[in-house]
Amino acid sequence: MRSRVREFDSSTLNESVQNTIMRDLKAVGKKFMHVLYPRKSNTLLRDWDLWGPLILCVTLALMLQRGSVDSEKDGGPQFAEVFVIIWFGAVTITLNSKLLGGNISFFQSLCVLGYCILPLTVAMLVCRLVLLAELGPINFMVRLFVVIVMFAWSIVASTAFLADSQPPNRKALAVYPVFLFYFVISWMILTFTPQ
Amino acid sequence: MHPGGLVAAGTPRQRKWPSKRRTPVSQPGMADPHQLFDDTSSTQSQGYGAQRGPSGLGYPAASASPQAAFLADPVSNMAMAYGSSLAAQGKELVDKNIDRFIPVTKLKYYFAVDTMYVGKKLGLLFFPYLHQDWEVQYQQDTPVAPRFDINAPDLYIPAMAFITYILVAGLALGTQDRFSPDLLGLQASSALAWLTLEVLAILLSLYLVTVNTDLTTIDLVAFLGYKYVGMIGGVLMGLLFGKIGYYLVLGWCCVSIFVFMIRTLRLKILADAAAEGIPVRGARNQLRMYLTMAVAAAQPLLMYWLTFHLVR
Repeated sequence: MRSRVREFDSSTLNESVQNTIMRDLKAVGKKFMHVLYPRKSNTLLRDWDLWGPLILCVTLALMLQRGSVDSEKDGGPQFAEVFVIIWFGAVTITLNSKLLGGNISFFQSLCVLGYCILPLTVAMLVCRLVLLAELGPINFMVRLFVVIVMFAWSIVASTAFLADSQPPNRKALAVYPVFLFYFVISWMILTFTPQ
Repeated sequence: MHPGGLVAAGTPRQRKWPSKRRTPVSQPGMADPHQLFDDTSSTQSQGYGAQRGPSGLGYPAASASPQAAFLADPVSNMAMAYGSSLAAQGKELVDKNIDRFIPVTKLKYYFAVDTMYVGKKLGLLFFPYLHQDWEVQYQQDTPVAPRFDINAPDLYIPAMAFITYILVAGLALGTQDRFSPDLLGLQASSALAWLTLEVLAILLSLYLVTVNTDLTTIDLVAFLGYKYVGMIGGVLMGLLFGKIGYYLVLGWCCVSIFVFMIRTLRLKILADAAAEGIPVRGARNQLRMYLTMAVAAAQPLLMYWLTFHLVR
């Protein structure tokens, strides 16, 4: 006698680990594509998941943290600080959006905001590469340009998803904290200097 | 971290493997009211069942025990029904308890704003001198939502102004090379502490002076949060134009917020007669006048106190 509940349990439990990982990775990859080429689509909202934001957040925090332990007072963020800023910022924006009366759920909003950090992570990688060259005003201008472009891309991508959840006379109010959030992250990326 | 197999709203998980289990318990035509998605396994497995009977994993063959299926069915159905009702009850309990501490519906009133309102209110905060009518309109005993009346307090502007103030403080410290992320937390908590202190002091004085007012705590937080807008303006100008710019803009914002607070609080704290400008003699009204002036005068002081160390 096998009950029906047991049958449902074995649905994804019996497949191989590789299948599970590949399926989740494909879902994450699909959403990355949606962020890089923002179109009006519901994919990010319908099948939300938090793997992508976690991967991006950890990558960004790892790249942003200070190298050595005894340079704590140098003014750069530690891993935990970046993590906390990103997640608490996302939660605050979601709360604001819900209080303003948007019809988006809590985790859907977290999912969208997390995925739209992808352009800024790319900017961080590019800045890291650019910083391998000699420091100077040209170096700074290049990094500034890259960060500004990716910042604009992040905002456009997240607006494409989030703005639809608000009525038109409140879109700007919901987008302003998103602007602040990505501004903080861009600021952290721009002011990063290696040891 | 993605939704589990049972509860994905509207997206049933597709099964990509051949089912190794025995045939399911329901007849194809029977729709079970408790299941959460369409059970398409019956048509599929009845095709398999004939082939897999002999090679089964030791389960009884498909056709042999519909009676056993009926036995298992009600129990698991009841279990699922109980589980889902328990979840619904739990959610209700959580909502009720959260509502006790943070009145969510009341908060929603303060966030019922739109872009026009925010723009006009910011203009009013910087230039309140020409505005004539400061009364909040009422609609059958409840104040109208901020969207429809510019005099109504809201919490969107104070909240966003507070967050922007923290970030601008971080920016200002960063340009002076005095930045570190824990300083941001320090600024945030010190500003919050001053706000809490202000709110408590004003509530205490309102209680001592025994004012009958409809000024709720959230209203008070909203009014006291409007000064952050002026502080942001001052610090930004200080970053761009140095100390002269900072003092000029901060001075202007201080006077504006003083006038704004006096005109707004006058209607809330003072008696109706005095609010219309007719001076009413009496110790109580004098006391209320002094209270309003004290609250309004505290705003510029705090604005200066919280920003002067950011501009060098």
